[in-house]
Amino acid sequence: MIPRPVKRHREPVYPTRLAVLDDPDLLLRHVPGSWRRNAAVMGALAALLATQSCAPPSAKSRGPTRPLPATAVVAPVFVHGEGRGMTGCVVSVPPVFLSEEEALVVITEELSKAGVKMTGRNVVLEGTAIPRRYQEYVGGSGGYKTEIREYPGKEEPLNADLVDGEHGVAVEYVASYDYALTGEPDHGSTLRAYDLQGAARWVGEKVAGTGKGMYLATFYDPTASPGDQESWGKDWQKANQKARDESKRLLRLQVKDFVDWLKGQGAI
Amino acid sequence: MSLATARAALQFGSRLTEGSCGIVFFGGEPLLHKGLIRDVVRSGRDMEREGSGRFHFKITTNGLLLDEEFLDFAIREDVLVAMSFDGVQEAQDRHRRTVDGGPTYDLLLPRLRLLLARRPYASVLTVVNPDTAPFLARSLAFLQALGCRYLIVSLNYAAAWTERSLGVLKEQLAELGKLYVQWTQEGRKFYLSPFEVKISSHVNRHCHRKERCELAQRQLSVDPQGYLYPCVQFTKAGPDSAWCIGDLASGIDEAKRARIHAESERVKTPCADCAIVDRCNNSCGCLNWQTTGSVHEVSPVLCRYEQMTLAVADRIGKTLYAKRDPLFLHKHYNAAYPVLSLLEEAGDETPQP
Repeated sequence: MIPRPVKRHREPVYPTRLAVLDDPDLLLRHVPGSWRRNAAVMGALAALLATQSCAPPSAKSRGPTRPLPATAVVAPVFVHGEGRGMTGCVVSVPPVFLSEEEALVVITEELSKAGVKMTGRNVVLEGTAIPRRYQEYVGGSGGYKTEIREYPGKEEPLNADLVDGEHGVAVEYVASYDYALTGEPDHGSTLRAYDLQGAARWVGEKVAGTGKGMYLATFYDPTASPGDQESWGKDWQKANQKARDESKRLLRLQVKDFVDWLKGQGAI
Repeated sequence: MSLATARAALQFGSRLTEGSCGIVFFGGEPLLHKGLIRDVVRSGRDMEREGSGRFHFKITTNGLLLDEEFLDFAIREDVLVAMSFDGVQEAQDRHRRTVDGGPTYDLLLPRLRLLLARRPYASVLTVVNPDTAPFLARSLAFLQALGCRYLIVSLNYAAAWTERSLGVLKEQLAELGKLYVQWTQEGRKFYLSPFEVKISSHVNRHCHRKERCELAQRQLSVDPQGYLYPCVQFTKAGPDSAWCIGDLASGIDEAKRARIHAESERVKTPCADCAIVDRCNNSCGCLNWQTTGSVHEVSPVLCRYEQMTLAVADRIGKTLYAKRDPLFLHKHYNAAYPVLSLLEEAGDETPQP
């Protein structure tokens, strides 16, 4: 047996401590649950992190530190907000959805802070394929159950909402209005159930490893709840606005996590 | 070692640093000389009171002579006690035998429980041999379930490792990597040496090299006659040894010390072009000497083990970072993690109204 030097070694895809210091909020956004319940720890955490985060957040991207991958690399879905809700029929608390413009402004702003400029809109990602899905009731000895299936041959390339060509970054935002195009199964009821988080994950799985080299994020509408009817009182508008603000905050957290991930990938 | 020699070592050590000088009791089994250890620690504390030194003390024991009385003393005098234990019965009884060849698992498990009850943060040292490698993941899961938080794993590099046994070790490390991810996601706090060090070698790459082993620079070993050596493995033969770098009476032979250090720092021939050289433990001259007979020749087993642990550690880092696991992030990226963790546990121990 003899020592065998390693000829090539892939850089780890988790960041260094110095890279993390560029985003002083990261450690405040992700705090162990047991710490959250402990006021003394949370107080000390805020104070101690302030002393560590002496490096100013970088407004400019340092540029890719490695070449683009051969095919699409898809970030995990960063879960902030449930992204679920129902409309129609007997639903008493409808979800509050963000408009496309509201959401894309949040995403563009947050990525811009990291130097990622989303100048491209509605860009077709060649070589990717998103099938249409349908819901089917399947009978068996154990009774009926619902299965989601894909229509054979009904596939279209993903039309990404935002693209930064320089860094090879693309974003697909799964919203209520285009849910049917991004994963909603066809069904035959007036009751409409939204699983935007699930759809974001599904789109990511379909795109991963296909198409041209890029880094793709699939964000989703967090659909923050306006609360129950009793808490709205007479001011539905106010409750609605509060839910929209909360959804924007949650969406911003999804984007911040994506930025961290991009750093880990060496993309920015 | 006589108490006079030990006291001379304390005085010598106190002059080497302005900070706290670490005193580690080595054997054989150090607890065979409990009385001497007590006297040495008391001497050190007396010197501290007189303002002529600061010390922290550590002992690694096989546990056979560990008892309540000694633990009372260790807690009172703030002496860290670590215990060697290889895990499940099949692993522990394979190599850790009594003088008459008997098994030690049943004998030592209560001692380990006692240690953890009194010192919950005590380190537990597990040595892996080719014939205990198949039990590695199970052993560490067993120790973790027992309450051991600081798990230090060392390979017996000098053992007769083969491709087959290294293959088993690789599988076990992969299994251990999955446990690392699982325990972290469950919010358990622990230190699992092979992976923590490797993750740190990337996360702290700006300063990691400062932490590596440097022969004859950071630590000295003193033998019972008071002769000095660059590390514990060399501690024998006194002035006749090429590794003896002085004695307590006349001090360190700096020229010899520098020569040994320079020798160990020479670029290791097969490592010059290695892509992971900056994250490798090939700089441990003591380990190299023990396994190859030369401080700058690297053991092939070390080379393989480093590659295996690095691959698993990077998989762990990738998985937990992608999930933004809070415990992982704070453990590896928050310099204040030990303080915050301690603060949390101090709060847990406070009786609730």
